[in-house]
Amino acid sequence: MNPLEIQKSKRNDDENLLSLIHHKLMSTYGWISLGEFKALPIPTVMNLLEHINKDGVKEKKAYEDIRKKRK
Amino acid sequence: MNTIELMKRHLGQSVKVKFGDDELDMAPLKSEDIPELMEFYGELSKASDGDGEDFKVVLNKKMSNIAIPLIKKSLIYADKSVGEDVKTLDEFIASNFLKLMPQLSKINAFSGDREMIKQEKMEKIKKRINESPRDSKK
Repeated sequence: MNPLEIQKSKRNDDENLLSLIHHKLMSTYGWISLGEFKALPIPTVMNLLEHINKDGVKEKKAYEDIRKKRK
Repeated sequence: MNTIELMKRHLGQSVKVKFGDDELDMAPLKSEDIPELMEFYGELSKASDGDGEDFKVVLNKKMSNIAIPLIKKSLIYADKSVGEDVKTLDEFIASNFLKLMPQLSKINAFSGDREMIKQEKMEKIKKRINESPRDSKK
């Protein structure tokens, strides 16, 4: 791969990562404009993602418990 | 001061770095800088063999090339006027790089909560080991 292609693929990866985080935050907290999202401090974003993940784990566990009770 | 202003002040708080008697603000980076910060952490994990003084030895050119713009951004986010004199800013970062770089990873810490949980678990394990029956038999 030539340097230009590497640069292009890196830029795509970066955009994908940011849109993934943006999507994850919006699916939990609702609409967040791109400008607003880009201006959020990193520690805040990471803490929010960690809370979202923790909630996800709790929900999964609760769902599994309900499924076991039904059986 | 109203609540929103107070919240804004504590959102992405800057950290003070001491230079002798003087203090300088460094603000956390913004989410648009996440890819660069990830790259920085990636290089850091590849390059670090140890802590403290060993850490300085393994600094490489690629890592400093990623870190310098991030430090620059962090200083500008804390005080916009800093960006007006780019030459002084560049010289300042170059001469204080080793002092500023650890601050960069400190204020943009990814997993503070996770580390705290790990520490709590370790404390519990230590406590359990100390209170184990083997000790009580003695």
